[in-house]
Amino acid sequence: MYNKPDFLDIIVRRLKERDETALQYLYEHYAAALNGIISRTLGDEQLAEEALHDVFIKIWEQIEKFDPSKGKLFTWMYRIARNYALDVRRSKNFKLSEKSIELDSYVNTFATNNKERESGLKEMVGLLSEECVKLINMNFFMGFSHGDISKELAMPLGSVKTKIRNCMSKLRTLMGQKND
Amino acid sequence: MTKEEIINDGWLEAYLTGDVSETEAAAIEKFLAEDQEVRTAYEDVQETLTDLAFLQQIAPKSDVKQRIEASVGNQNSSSKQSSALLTYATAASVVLAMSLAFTAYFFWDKWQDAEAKYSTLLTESQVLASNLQRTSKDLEVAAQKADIATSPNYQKVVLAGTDNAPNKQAIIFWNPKQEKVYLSTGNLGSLSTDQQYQLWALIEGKPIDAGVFNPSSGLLVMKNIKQADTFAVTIEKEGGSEQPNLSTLQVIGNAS
Repeated sequence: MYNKPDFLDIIVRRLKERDETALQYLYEHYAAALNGIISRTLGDEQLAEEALHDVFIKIWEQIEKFDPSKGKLFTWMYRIARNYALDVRRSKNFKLSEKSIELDSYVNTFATNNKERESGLKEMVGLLSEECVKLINMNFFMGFSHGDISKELAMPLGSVKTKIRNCMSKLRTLMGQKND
Repeated sequence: MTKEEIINDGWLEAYLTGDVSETEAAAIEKFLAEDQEVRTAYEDVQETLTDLAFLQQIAPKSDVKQRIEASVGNQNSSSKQSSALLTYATAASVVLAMSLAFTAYFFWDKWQDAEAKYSTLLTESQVLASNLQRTSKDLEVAAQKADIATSPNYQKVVLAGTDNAPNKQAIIFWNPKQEKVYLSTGNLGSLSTDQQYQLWALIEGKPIDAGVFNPSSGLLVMKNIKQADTFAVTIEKEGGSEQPNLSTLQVIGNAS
């Protein structure tokens, strides 16, 4: 099958050729989405923005390592953001600063500062169980591994995995309905 | 790990966040490479997460972008030493030129891609056409050979190599009723341009010209021969001779 060239393929190619305008494009389109993950993982706006800066420098420096056969560009950037935020959280400085993640402010709702999307989002959250919102937020947005969640919520590891899978499927169905 | 487990038990979600061991990752990657259903399921997970990440976005302060640009700009080149000298107007024109160059490059790149693909396709279609032509010719030849070789009306005469050419061989298919003679030139080698092979039919030692030929992969149609007890091939001057030069006799065989 012949795939039509994706605009993001060209962005990746331009990044590899050290075109700063391609990085600007990525920032304009993805910084807020990645910042949402970093902020929730670190629970501190200022630290998150420092980390966001470092994450984009990593994207710029490591673009050669991006392998499109292993996943989409956003997934690759997501992993860099998640892992870097976790590194920062584990670092000495973070622990010394006595930052604690305000679990409750994020965990029970899908929060956004994007007004346009908010109304549709609230409708959707209403249809998704509270447990799903909590599991998805902890796992994908706050840096909790399946093992961490299992401990935190006293739930068997296998159940954590399967529940997250089912919640993501449910979410996909809801989003699909909204987009139709 | 089975395919169903990977899809239904949350392994793809775990793989996305890197929450798997190396062995598990390798098993999942094998399925991703080989199984379309697993691949589609993983694409769905990625899309769902992407949509959700956009829904939950938090806009950073604007100076983060400038700091990134500064960091990258410093790394990227030393050719920006004169940037302090640029006035606002020239900076603007540089931005314009860059964006034009980017656009131009973008379309040039697409055009190059299209050009390359077109030329590849053209070559491919030419190759295919010529293969097809050659194949149909081969097929025609093969069918003709098969018809003649299996026909009870054709007599097969194997011409064996003489002392001049002990390893050579050629085959005659002869239909005495219709007087038709076909020749398969076998392993007779090519000659210099001023020479040609000539086939002779001999009736009680008397040679009759059955035509000149050059080595060929197909069956050659020779002159009609009504009567013969022997067929022979000699090397003659280009265009053939009236009498065979027997010192150049290559192959010979008796009709039964």
